[in-house]
Amino acid sequence: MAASPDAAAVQNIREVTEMVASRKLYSAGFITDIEADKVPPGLSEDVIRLISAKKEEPEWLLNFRLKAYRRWLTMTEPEWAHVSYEKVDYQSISYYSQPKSMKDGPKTLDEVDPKLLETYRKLGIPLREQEMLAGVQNVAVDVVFDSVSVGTTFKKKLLEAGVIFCPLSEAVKTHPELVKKYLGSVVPFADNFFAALNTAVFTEGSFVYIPKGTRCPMELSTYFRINERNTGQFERTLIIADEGSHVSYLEGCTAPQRDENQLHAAVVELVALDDAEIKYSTVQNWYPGDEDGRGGIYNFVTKRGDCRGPRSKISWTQVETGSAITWKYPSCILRGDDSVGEFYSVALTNHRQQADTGTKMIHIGKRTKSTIVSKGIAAGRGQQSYRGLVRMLESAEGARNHTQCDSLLIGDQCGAHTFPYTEVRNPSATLEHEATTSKISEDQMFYCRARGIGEEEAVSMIVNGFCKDVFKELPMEFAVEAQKLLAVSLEGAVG
Amino acid sequence: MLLEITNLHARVEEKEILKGLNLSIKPGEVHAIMGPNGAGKSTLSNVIAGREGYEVTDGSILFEGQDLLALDPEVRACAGIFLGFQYPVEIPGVSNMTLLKAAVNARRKHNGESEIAPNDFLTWVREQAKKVKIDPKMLSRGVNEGFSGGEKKRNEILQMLVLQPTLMILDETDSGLDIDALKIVSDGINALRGPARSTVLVTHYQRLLDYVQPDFVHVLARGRIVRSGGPELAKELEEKGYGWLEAA
Amino acid sequence: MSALATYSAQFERYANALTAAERAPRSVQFSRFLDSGFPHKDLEDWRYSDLTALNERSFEPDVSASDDALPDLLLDGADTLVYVNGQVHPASTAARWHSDTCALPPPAVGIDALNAAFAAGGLRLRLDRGTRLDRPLQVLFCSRSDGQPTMSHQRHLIELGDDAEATVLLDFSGIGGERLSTHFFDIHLGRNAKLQLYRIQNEAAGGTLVTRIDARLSRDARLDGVTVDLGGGFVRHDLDLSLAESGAEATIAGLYAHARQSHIDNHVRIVHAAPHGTSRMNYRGLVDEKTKAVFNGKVVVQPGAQKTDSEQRIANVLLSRKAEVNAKPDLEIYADDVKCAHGATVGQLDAVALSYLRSRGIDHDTARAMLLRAFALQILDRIEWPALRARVETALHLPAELTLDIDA
Repeated sequence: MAASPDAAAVQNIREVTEMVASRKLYSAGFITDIEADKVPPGLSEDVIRLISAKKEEPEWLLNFRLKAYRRWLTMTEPEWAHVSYEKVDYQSISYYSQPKSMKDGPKTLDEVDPKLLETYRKLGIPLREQEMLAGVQNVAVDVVFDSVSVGTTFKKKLLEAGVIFCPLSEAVKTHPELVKKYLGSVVPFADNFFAALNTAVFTEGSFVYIPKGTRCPMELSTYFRINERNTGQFERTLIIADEGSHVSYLEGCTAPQRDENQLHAAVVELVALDDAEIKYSTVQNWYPGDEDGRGGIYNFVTKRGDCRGPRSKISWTQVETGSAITWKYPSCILRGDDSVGEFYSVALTNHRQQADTGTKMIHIGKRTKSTIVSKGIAAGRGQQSYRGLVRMLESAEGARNHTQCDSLLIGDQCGAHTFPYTEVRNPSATLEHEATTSKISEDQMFYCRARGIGEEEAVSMIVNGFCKDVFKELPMEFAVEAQKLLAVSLEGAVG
Repeated sequence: MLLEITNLHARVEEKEILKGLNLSIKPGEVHAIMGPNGAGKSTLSNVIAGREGYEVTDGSILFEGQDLLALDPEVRACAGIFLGFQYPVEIPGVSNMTLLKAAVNARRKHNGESEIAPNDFLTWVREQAKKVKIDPKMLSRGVNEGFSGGEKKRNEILQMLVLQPTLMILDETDSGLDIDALKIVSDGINALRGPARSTVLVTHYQRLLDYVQPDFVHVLARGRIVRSGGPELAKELEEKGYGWLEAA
Repeated sequence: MSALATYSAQFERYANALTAAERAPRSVQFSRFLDSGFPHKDLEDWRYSDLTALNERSFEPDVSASDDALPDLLLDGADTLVYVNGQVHPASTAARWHSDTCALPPPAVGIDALNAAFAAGGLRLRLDRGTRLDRPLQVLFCSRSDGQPTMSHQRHLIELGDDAEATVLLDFSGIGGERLSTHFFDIHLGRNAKLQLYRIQNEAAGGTLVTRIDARLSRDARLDGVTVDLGGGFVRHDLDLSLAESGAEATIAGLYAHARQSHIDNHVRIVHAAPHGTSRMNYRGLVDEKTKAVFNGKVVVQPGAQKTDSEQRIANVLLSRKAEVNAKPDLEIYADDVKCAHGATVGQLDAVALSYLRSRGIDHDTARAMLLRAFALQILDRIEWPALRARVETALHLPAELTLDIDA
């Protein structure tokens, strides 16, 4: 019973209600007072050279960055998304920030600045393996603070299994052939405005390689935190699952509460070779801004997985509760025959948050299959859009897609929108798209209240029920965290 | 007095439904409220439970001496009032177990008690489920999601058994049940009968009263109690129907 | 010669014949057209349809009314208003509903501006309060093109007073080569008015037809629309409905089928601007050979349009390797007490049903036609005008004998 999701759900709802009651709304909103080595604001080829030099990068990588930068200069920021915001001044952002104490680089986690360790302890991310082992978790964590990785746990155990899990900047040095072969192979440097920007200035992120036939012995996780003022975070993650391998990867994000907007423009590339499987889960809790829409993170992210080999599978699960503006479409290119793509999403917008999120499933191989389950929740003055593309090319013999896309409205000031693009060019392909929009019914509310459950808790419960099909795709610890987040984010949406 | 309703007037969307209803219930009593369709039976249940949209324009309801009308529905539930719904609501994705646990803990918190231990609770719920012949597997399904009419009503009784209320109001819980299901539901109600606990059976049919013997029977028509009596009144209604009331 | 130059030359000639007062607003429209050109796929509304090829083309204006015999398209029992290349044909029995003049819209862009710059009058059907059109009105637009490509642009008006009722068929039919026609319709339905509107399109393979219907529904007004696309080269049809007052109801059914190598783009937009509105959108496509079908349905529920009840269904059967379907059923919802659902499917004919029929001795082609008919039936059933329905069924090669009830 203790481990059943229902019990955990009740427990969480309870905890959260208390948390909300004590007005500790965005609990990750504290600032770590740490001295940082920050590049002055502004973007130019010199800044890119500087970043590259700080990371001691090889020539090819610098050239890759410069190529992307030059292209980016010719590109315009996309405007088709159903969001409105003040445009970013790209010259006012600092493109590199690292805690000063990291300058000479800690050799082990023991050398990491205690203040940083404290930050992560507060966030519930234990960096010391002995702390982790004492807990229930069995997760290896890479932690990125502003522009640098501050440590990766369980490296040794993973190495024994042949798994490479390290900061991307380290992989560039230790496994240049892998990085060179795959970096930019899924998301081309000029794919879109934000991807080009990321390619030019990316500073940190994780690198994962799972060798042939290996099942990664534990969950891998990267935890991102933006701390420094006026910095952008441009992380870049690259995950390669070689033939017949399997990996589950979790990503978490937070940022301090600040009045100004901060930019987060990440790129994530996944490659699944023959029979390989990658499960990528995100719980995104960047600072959403305050009730009146002041501050918050602009989350402009390009995530794409390439099912390169036959029978490969990539599954995206995301819970998006944070950020002021979200622009994000984790996608699958189903190249290999019989490959499978999945997208499970819960996105919530409250107060003045705006999200335009969804997925793209590009069916190229024969008998490729994709499943999309999207649950959008709009509350307060939040605007919530699902934007999805299912494209079945001429070669996609017997391809199949099923999309279920539901929106829940809480209050009459919010909006929920659905923009599903479907393009089919093969007569044997099958596609189904279903969408509904509804609100929490008065009957449901009264039923819960007549059983003694208060309004806020009833809404939490009903919303969690609405999201169940997605939560069940998350690893247990994340599902619990996701439920908590959802409840906290809904605070103030009722009554 | 457990429940004291005095001169209750209530309306729904400008239409006055209850027009000066009086009813007193002592601890341990079972009252049946009968009457033709549209007499105001469900309105009475909903007003006691505190449903929005029902406006009380006059009169009062005291529960254990406190003004019930001033309380939110969840506070009434925590105070020990249970409404068995005529049409139990489906809540997709929220399991029966989740709802039960949240409800029990809300009650305990209200009473200043600590949360119930998960293992004890599960065992306890399973025992109650057996009494109303609900498969334990159904406990992890969504609340009333895809349940048959009979299953929904038995699920109401299960919730009642788990929550152990002081005042049980069963709104047409017997309608749409076959005889086997009716027996199960009646057994559940009888199991909770005791000196400290009272029951209000709102029903259109006399059938339920064969299984749950009432102490008092009231006839509700045109928004007020027009006649009260013992179990024999139910028999009379069964024979004569409600037509004579209109003439009265 | 620069892009759009031939259009400039045409416009100059056309404008010279106008008075200064007439010329001014049209010149504004034309300069807006020159600024934007023909729509291209970078515009979200034209993502799958691109007319930029027309930038370099050259079309002569239509000259005089043709006395040619009409194709056998006039329907029994209807009043008729016939246009051949934009000119009223003497065979019309309802010429009283024609107007030489038209109202121009506010300055537009793209093809809307092109239409407004050149637009001639057309249908002007105005019914007073409580009047009912006894016979259905068939408005036939015949396009003929042999030799030099020609173009015509018309603007039309349908205005039904409170409680008025009418049945109108907009019938687009073409033969011959390259031609460009644009037709813009303004429809106003008064309180409790009812319009049964049919639109049948069977243009020639060389024809480019752009039509747009803007309709505004007052309180409790009702619009029942059925639209069928059977041919054409490039066909773009926009249907823009505003349920402007409470209780309005719109039911739109559409079928696109049988076309061989057409580009058929239907954009349907229903805006619920007031409470208690109901809308139903049901489109079905049989997409064969080299046809590219585009469907974009959009339902917008504006703030305050509570109790909106809206449903959108789109189903497509893709019948050929060279065919393509792009469907996008959008929902934009800004009110919370609403019931909105949409669904889209793309698939193929049921192979099991097909082999079942063949196992009963029915040849492949007949069996296939039976299934196609079964698929199209939902829409065909919405055509309540027997002569019109028969004509559509014949054009589809799906005669009534093929009716079967798979469930039986």
